[in-house]
Formats: sequence, C-alpha cells, structure tokens
Amino acid sequence: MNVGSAIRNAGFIIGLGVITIGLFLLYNPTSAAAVPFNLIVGDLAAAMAIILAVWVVRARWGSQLQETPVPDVEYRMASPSPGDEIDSMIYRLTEYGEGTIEFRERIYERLHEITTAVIAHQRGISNEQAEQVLASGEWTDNAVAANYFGGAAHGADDESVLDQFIDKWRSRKSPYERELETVVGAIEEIGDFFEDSELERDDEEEDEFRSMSMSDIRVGGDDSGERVADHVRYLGEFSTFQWTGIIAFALAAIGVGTIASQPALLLAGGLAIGLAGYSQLGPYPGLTDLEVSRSLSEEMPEPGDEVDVTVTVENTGSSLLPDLKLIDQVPPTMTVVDGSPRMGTALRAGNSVTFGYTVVAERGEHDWPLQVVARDVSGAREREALIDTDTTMNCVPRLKTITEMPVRMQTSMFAGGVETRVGGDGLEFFSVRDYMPGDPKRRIDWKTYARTGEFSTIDFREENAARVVLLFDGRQSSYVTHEPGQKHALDKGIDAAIDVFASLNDQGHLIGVAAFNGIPCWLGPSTGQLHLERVRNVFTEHPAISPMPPELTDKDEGRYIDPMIHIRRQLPENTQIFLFSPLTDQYTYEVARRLDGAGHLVTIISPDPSNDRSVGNRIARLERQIRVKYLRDHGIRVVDWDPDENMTLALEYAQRRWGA
Amino acid sequence: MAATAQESETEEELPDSALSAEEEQLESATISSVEEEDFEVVEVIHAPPRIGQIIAIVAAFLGMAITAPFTVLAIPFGLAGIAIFIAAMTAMQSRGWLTVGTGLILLGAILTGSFGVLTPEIMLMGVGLVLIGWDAGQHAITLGNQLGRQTRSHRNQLVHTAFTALAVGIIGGILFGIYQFAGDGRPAPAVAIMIVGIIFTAWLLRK
Repeated sequence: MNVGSAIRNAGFIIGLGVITIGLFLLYNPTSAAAVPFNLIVGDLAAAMAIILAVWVVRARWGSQLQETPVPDVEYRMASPSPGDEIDSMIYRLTEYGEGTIEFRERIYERLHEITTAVIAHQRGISNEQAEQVLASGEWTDNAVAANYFGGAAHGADDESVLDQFIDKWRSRKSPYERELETVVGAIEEIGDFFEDSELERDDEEEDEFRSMSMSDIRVGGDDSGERVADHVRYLGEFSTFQWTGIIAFALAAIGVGTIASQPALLLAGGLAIGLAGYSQLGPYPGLTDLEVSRSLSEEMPEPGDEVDVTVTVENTGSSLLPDLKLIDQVPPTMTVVDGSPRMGTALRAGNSVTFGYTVVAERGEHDWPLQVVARDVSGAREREALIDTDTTMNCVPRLKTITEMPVRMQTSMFAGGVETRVGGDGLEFFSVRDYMPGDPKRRIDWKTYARTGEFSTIDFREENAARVVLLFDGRQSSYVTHEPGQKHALDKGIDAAIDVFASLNDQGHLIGVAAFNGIPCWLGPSTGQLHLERVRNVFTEHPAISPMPPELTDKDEGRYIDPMIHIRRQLPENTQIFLFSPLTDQYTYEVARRLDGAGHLVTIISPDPSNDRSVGNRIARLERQIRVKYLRDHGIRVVDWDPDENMTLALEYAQRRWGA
Repeated sequence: MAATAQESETEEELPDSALSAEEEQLESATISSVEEEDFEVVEVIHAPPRIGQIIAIVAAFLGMAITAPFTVLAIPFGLAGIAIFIAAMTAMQSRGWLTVGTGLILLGAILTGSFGVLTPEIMLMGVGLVLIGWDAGQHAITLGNQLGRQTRSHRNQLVHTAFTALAVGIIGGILFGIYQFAGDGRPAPAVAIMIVGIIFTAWLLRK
C-alpha cells in the first residue's frame, strides 16, 4: 500500500468519524446544544462545497473516459494499399510541417521518374531525350503540371478563376496536394493507361470499407500479458471513470441545499455520494474461473469453406460476474459471414453462455483466444483478459483442380517448354503422315482412307512434362490490397497458385514452390504424393508466405540478405517460373529481369493492388503500370489481374494478348 | 484392352472439347466465381443497443420531468439537458456529451430544489432516475463501442442497470429513513457537523 492510499484511507476514517458524531448529535439534541456553533460555519462549508464542485467539473472536463479497445474481428485486417506511404508523407508534410524539403524532394523524384518513363515510352525516345522534353514543358497542356517540372506552360490553362475558387472552397485538401493531383492527372492523360472512366471521380465520396485496424490485432499465440491461470492471461485493468463527476453534483447539491436550507437537496447530494461510494466497492472481477470451449463444425476445412464456430463460456467460480463482454478473436485473415463472434452477458456462478457464428476458413493452422472484457458491478473498473482454448482449425488446401483450365489454353500457355515439335501421342493435332505398320488403329485417318483407299496416320503433338517453379514475393510489400478488408496480394496470389498447381499437377508437370523473403523457402520441382503433401504444408504454414504480414509476425529477420540468393542457387536450368507478385516495387521487377536473363521463361501473375483513392495511390499505380509495360517490352509475360475479376478471366485476356 | 478403351475415350472427347471450347471457358469461369468468395461479410454497427438507448432516455426524461418543470429558471436547463442527452445517446454516441446533458438536467434539479418546491422523496426519485439514465447510457455506449448493436447484449445491460437501480433504491431509502427519523427538530450544529463530514468524504471519493 503506498502513502497516497494510506492517507486516503485515514481521511475516510476521519470523515466517517465526523459523520458519526453528527449522527450522534442529531439523535441526542442535548449534547448538540453544548457545541459552540454559528450558522456561518455551515454556510462557509457550503460555499466551500460549491467551489469544490466547480473544481471537480473542471478536472473532469476533457478527461479521457476509458474502455478497452475491441478490434472488429468480423472483418479481415486492413492491409495497406500501394502508395499509402506517399499519402502519409503528404499528410505529415501538410499537417505537421515535417520533412518539408525531404518529402517534397522524394515525391518529386518519383513523379519525375514516372513522367520521364511515360514520355520515353510514348514517343519511343531515350530517357535523356525524354528529360529534355519534360524540362521544356511541352509534354502537357496543363500549366500546373508543366510548371511542376520547371517547364514553361504550353497551351492555356482551361480552368477559369471562378472554377479554381470553387475547387478550393469545395475540397479540404492542401494546395500542395491539389498540385500533385493535377500533375498526376496530367501524367495519366498522356500515358493513356486508364481509358476507362476511372479518371473522373468524385472527390467528395467517402469510402467506407469493412476492415479491422492493424493496430488492434491481438495475434494468437502471442504471450503478452500476465498469465494468471493455465489458459488465462490478464492484459490490463483500469478505472473507467464511469462515475467520475457525480461528486461535483453531490458537492453542489449539498452546498446549495445548506445555504438555501433545503433538506431535499441535502438528500439528493447524499444519494450521489452514496453512489460514488458504490462505485468504489467492487474489486476487479476475477476471470480465472472462466472455462471456454470452442467447437468447429469442421476442424480441417479447405480454404473458402464456411465453418460454424460455437463458443461456450462457463463461470466455474463461486461468484457472480455481473458484466462480461466476450469477443472471440477470429484470426485476422478470416471473415465472419453469419452471426456475431461477440456476446455481452452476466454469469452467475455455475452458469454458462453459448454463442455461435460462421467464418470463411483461410489457409493456415489457426488457434485463437477469446478476449474477455469484464467490469465490476458498478462499471467503474474494467479488466481485460485473453483466454486460450485447445481448439485448432487446420485449413489445408486440397490441391485439386477447381478451376478447370481448358487443355487448349494450357498448351499454348506454356508454349516453348511444353510443346514439342515431335508428333505422336497427344491431344493437339500435329500432322498427317503415311501409315506405317504398327501404328495404333485409332490414329488411322479413316476419312482419308474412305476418299483415297490409302492408310494414313494422324499425329498429335507430343507434350513433355515441364519443370515449373511457383515463386512468391513474400516480402512486406506484397501485403497490400486494392481495398482495405480485402485479401492482400500475397493471399490472392496463393489462391491462384493453388489452382494453377492443381491444374499443372494433373497434367503431370514437375512443380516446385519457392518464395523470396528473409526466410528461405524452397521446394524443388517434383511430383508424387509425398511432394503434394509437402506443397500442402508449404501453402498452409510456411512462415515465408504466412498470411500475416512480416511486420506483425516476426521480430527479427535478416532483411539485409538478398532474398533471391537461396533461390538462384537452387533453381535448376530450364525451369519455367510463375512469379506471383503485385509488382509494387522495383525489386520484383529486377528479379523477373534477372531470371529472364538467366534463361528461365518467366510468367508473372500479378494481382493488381492499385487504386485511385488518393494521389499517393495514383502515383503508385502509375509506377506499377510502367513496370508492367517495361516487363512486357522485355518479353516477360505479365498477367495483370484485376482483383475483382476471377483468375480464369484474367488468364483468358492474357492469352488473347499473347496469341495476338 | 483397358488402354484401348481409354484411348478411344480420348478420341471421342477431342472433337467435343474443340467444339465447346467457348462453352467450357464460360463454364470454368462460373465454377471459379462460385469458388471465389461471394460471401457477404457481416456488418458491425457500432451503436448503443436499442434497449440501452431506451432505458437511458426514458429514465433521464422521467427524472427531468419530475424535477425541472416546477421552476421557470430550471426549465431551460432541463430541456437543453435532455436534448443533449438524447443527441449523445443517438447521433453522437459520446459519453462526454452524455455527461454534459446529465449535468444540465441535474443543475436544473438543484435550481428547483433551492426554491424548496420539491418534497425530498420526489427529489430523490428524480435525481435517482437521472443518475440511472446516465449510467445506463454510458454503459450502452460502451456496449456499442465494444460489441456493437448486432451482438446480443441485453442481459448484460439489464443486469448492470438493475444493480444500479438497486443501489439507488437502497441508498435513497436509507437517506429518506434518516430524514424521517431526524424529523423537524434537528439541531443545526449536528447537521452542520454531518455536512462537513460528508463533504470531506465526498472530496475523497471524487475519483
């Protein structure tokens, strides 16, 4: 017990002593008459009470009311979008005046690079020439954009003064941000990348996404908090200040009541004091006797399956828990599609409560705790705890073809490595040749025989098994999404890869899985049941392609190691690479170029995480588009996959382009 | 023999698949779009549960209605207080503003009380109701923040409010009992000493 609370307790004893004396005197008027007394004393005390009341109100004003933050576990975590870092730079620059020179310079350099690349690409000139064009300002009709890069304006500024004024009045954006928007708009225009109506967009529109804030995530298995029982961890306890301020009313009522000699007010003040005392009564609720059991309708679901979860919480202790809020901490990669994983209740000793909800399973081995937020009977004290359960959901991809990839599509898709120039058994027509004794009967072309009376044999194109490695970009920059609350690009890539793997495996190709990340991940191309099992394991629980971003999961990893080293060492020659990456930074681009240079056929399947919600996002989108264009110029196939479409459709588009 | 059967199967399939290539692609697109998540994520509505809103507003309104209207000076406080109270419970969902509203209603009650219009039992009842409403409102807003409206939580709200109401009842009853017992012939010094003691204790209880 510290000094403060000792003084406080002594004060309470004195206070109660004084009240007792008062009660005694009330009961015994004769001794009361003996007390030397002047009404002024009472009035002084009353005036003091009113002053104290004002003081309490002042102290309460603006004080933070407390409650435990609860994450929106129903939603998927909010992965960032590419370009968010630019927006945060702009925000810090305009709101806090941080890095005025540094941030401006960085943004300028990125825009400069983009514009040069766009101009060079558009006009088929070298980068140096493009820079000259940029400096001259003749690349755009937009005066603001031309000025931004130091060029003189060409063409008139078609915005009237009035329009500008209205713009300024309507948008809450800083002049700098609006300048950037104009520049980016001008680049988009000359780049002509986005023919669709995306350019026109309503600035006032407020997007609302269903997502769970990253900062609230309580990662399962994390050993934070104080372990008070086998399965219970206390995270924190604090006063909620639910009743703070009631004393102000009490003091004011008693003060006014004394001066005005109104017993009704004295009683009202007394009631308030009594309630303040009531709020001090309860101890922090003890949660060690809560038993949690969770059952799943399916313990080993496949990704995408709906699983019903039923949670039962029992109070096995001997006291009432008057205020319980139970929040099942659904893993951040999963979403709740029915019911609520939360429950608010009160549990008497021996009672239990059951609630249920439905989640969509995602790959990985999941066990998750139950978050309990409990308060004492008056609601003044709150304690947060996590209760672990033994239930584990093991969600393993089945690796069976779900999206049937048409064979024709397949053969042309893996051109070069797969098709041979040898006729024989196969599926695709190759040639007709003279019949040779021993040819299978079913390959004889009977129509020719009917016409000419000669036997001839149809040859089909022979197909060889290819060696393919599915390569994932597992770095932090892959954990981005076009809309918060949607799957991030890595998970989308893995979903696609599971399909591709199954499809390729059915065709008998040798497939490997690898990822570049601080953590080595390599599974050489192979086939067979054992290999399939290994691949399943990699997809399910390999930390290099974990569904949770590295910044949340691992503490220390050797980021200084080039993540590609271990892959390049092990990659067999003549292996095709399927690279899954959102292409949000230059590194993946370099990787693809290097692999291509080393003679591997590279196909990039790139879930597009870009969007146009903010100027930063638009800058990142431009950068990505340029990367895609450059890669294609170098003969690397890129499937630019719009995340709202399904993979089959994206492949279909890509095929048409490749075929052309 | 088995091999031949298999081969002839392939041959039969060949023209078929060539013919219906378009169809097949369409079909596979549909298959995968079913497989793609078409699930609608449930919505989390961070608003106080209805039952909490109703309890809080009704209690505060009743408390205001039996204390404020008896003095002209108190009426504006009562009305402004209940308006802010309702706004804090519905649109703003703010515990801070809820307290401001409650404070105004109680200020109205003190004004009324200072003119001696209210009997002690009515005063106790009115202030008790306002305080019950204030507590229920804060509790409901917290439930809205932590659990949301879509979650079952009425038991939690009801138990909490029942305990508060019980505490108000018991404390009010005891106070009223003392008042009845002390009666009219109360010696001023005794009351004054008690009040000093109570103020001192209250100051210690303020947090």
